[in-house]
Amino acid sequence: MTWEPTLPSCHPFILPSCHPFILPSCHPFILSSCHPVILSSCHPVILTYPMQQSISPTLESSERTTFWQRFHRMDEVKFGLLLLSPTTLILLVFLVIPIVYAVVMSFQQIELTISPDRSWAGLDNYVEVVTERAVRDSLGRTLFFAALTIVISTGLALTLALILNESFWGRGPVRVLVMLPWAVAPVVGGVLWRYIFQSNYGLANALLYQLGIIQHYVVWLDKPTVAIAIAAVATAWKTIPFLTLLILAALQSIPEALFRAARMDGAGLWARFRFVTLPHLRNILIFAVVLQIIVSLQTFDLIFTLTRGGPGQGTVVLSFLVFLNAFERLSLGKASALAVLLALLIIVMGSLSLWSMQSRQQKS
Amino acid sequence: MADRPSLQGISRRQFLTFAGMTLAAGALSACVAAPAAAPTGATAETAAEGGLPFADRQLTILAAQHHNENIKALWVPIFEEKTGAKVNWTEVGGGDADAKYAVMVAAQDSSVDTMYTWETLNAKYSRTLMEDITEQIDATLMDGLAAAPRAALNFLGKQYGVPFDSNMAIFMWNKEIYESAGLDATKVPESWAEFIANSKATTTDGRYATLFTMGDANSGFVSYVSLFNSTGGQLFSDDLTKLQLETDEGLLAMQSLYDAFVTEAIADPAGVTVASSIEQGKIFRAGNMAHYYAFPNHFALAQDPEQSQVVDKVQTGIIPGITLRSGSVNGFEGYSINRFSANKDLALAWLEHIVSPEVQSLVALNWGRPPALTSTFDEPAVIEKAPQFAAVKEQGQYPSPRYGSPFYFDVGTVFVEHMLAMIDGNMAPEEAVQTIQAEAQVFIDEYWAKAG
Repeated sequence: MTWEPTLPSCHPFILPSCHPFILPSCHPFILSSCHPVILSSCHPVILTYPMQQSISPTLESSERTTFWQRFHRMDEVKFGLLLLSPTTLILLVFLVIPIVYAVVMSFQQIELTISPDRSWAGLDNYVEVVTERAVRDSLGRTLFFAALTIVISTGLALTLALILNESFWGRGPVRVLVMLPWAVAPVVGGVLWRYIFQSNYGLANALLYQLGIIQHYVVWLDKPTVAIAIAAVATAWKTIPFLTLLILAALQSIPEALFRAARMDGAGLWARFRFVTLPHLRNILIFAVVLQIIVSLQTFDLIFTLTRGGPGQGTVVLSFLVFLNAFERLSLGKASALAVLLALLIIVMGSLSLWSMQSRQQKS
Repeated sequence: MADRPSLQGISRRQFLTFAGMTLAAGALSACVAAPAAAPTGATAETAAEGGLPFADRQLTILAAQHHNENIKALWVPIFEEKTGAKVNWTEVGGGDADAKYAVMVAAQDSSVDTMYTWETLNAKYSRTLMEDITEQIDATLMDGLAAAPRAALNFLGKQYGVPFDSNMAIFMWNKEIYESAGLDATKVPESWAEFIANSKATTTDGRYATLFTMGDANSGFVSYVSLFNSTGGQLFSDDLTKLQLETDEGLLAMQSLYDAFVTEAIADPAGVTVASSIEQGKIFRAGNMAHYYAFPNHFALAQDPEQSQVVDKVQTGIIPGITLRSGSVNGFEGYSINRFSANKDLALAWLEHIVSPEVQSLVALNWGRPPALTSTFDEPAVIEKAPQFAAVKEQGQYPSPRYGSPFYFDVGTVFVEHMLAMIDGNMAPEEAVQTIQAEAQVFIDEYWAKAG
């Protein structure tokens, strides 16, 4: 019985013999028949049928099949799932199970300053979270922070992408410089921005003072609104490189012929941007906004290093409030409930944004 | 039955299957943590070579990072030599201990035998993480310690830790700035009024006389308490069920803070963004502050040419009080025993070690911290090398509680939120006191309702 592939020879999955993945018979990975790993035909493990079987099972139903026989008759879908299984297992262990556990904890009362024991609390944690003034205040702050971050990051990323799409001397190094913030760890970024806006010896004050823009050093982080704005700028600084890359890739896929045609029709710079560039960028911009919603609602590390939630509670966003409930108040049940609600908020806001923009796109 | 064809090679599918499974197995096995070495179960009576009481035993210490230079380098070798035990040293950032201990409680983690503590951690975790050592610790040993640090690691009548220092804030000033302002650089202000007067004289264009840290719940609450403690009042009831802020003393302290920031404007507004005394100390050592409430080890830093621009320009004294002559706030540190540990006897030996005369001398002479053992203050070498301890000894006669509690964070948050509103001019001191009293009491009542 010879192996008959079910895929045509021109199929992408069928590799030609010259393909690097196809190993010649002299390759070290190809074991000879006398190699110790190669079992002899009388070895108990060896199938009574040939090793290479037809993908489509053709075995008579009356014959019993071994594991290896079933394995080698497995279809492509099942084989793909099998290859995915290690990753799936890791995701299950490190993602799914902790999420499920957190959801379970959100229905329990766990106060670690009182006792390590836990009791069933039902919806009490959710009721407490929803009715707490601190949570409502934090929600407002979070939405403000998210809105600022989206506007700053998307706007600047679009601008940078448009600039980098043009040819100019030094474009290569400029592109590298633009990408640098992406390589900086969020914690490092937070510390960096904290020192830039440090009131006694920060760079911002020093620069503005030298330029004569301010007469005295300013305490930047003492007002909640200003502190939130600085946090938004710092978050945007981190995400702009990635968004720029996305938008730049989309820009470079716009056919040049469209711009030539527009120029021939007398369209100026703004008209070309509005009627040629922007429509082609619509999808990527939708994606960028949704991504920024998710990023800004999840931001914790930058707030932690930049302001630690201060001044007072002025920059305590929802993700930071989860941390405070879990690790300062040691109220794990309440923290879990808040985390679940935050996740739902992210899903709802992301979905709503996507739906809203896509329906507007369909109408236009 | 067809003969099995001779295998000339592994098929592509076989190779990918084998490789994928090998990688997956390797990745999963790497995720399995190596089991922690179980502590040897030798009893205290086990005869050891050379008569060492804890030979072949291992003690796991969870310390703060800033303990490395002194405790790990100096105290641990002496302990190992004395007991025969091997110390397994682990560290956590000082500000991260809270989160670490939360995880330890949740997991009932027994991997650590003894961990560092201070008043607030002690109050927060005494019920769930720390061992009650009231009956276990040597009473004569505890009697030799200063009363305030001993009390700081006592919660509701039970002892949960042993302090190794009596670190509390004292008053430190820059003699050069005092002289340039026409003040007597050798004389410490002896009252709040004098403090304000000196501050006004040394506040110039672009430089404030002092800085109170208000950057987070802990630092803001501590700044308030450092003023309150010199009013003669008691902020909490003895059983910690009542906040006693709405009193003459509470209002006096709040008014004083308001005067410092607003009325007299002698406190740096940047203090609302500063959460740590370390940063506060850096500003002083850069020569940008006339005086402040400092921990004694800041004096040693101020005398270090590599870290200070005010070497030999610093003097110390006790804090000028509002009603009493003085008052302060403590920063006592110590160690406690993990109630889940299987090595409690060895951990107790460590606690007794840290308050031994030998180690207490190291605290004073090498670390620059005031010792917990009162007799160490009188050692000639200590008197000569640490002149700032004279101020500490005197300061120790006045109140310095930090009011650690399980709801410390919530109460501190309420304090800071409304004190900042007061500093911003959105609230009068009386209103701040009333609001804080009402809101903080809610958190306290909620805690005791759950705690039973």
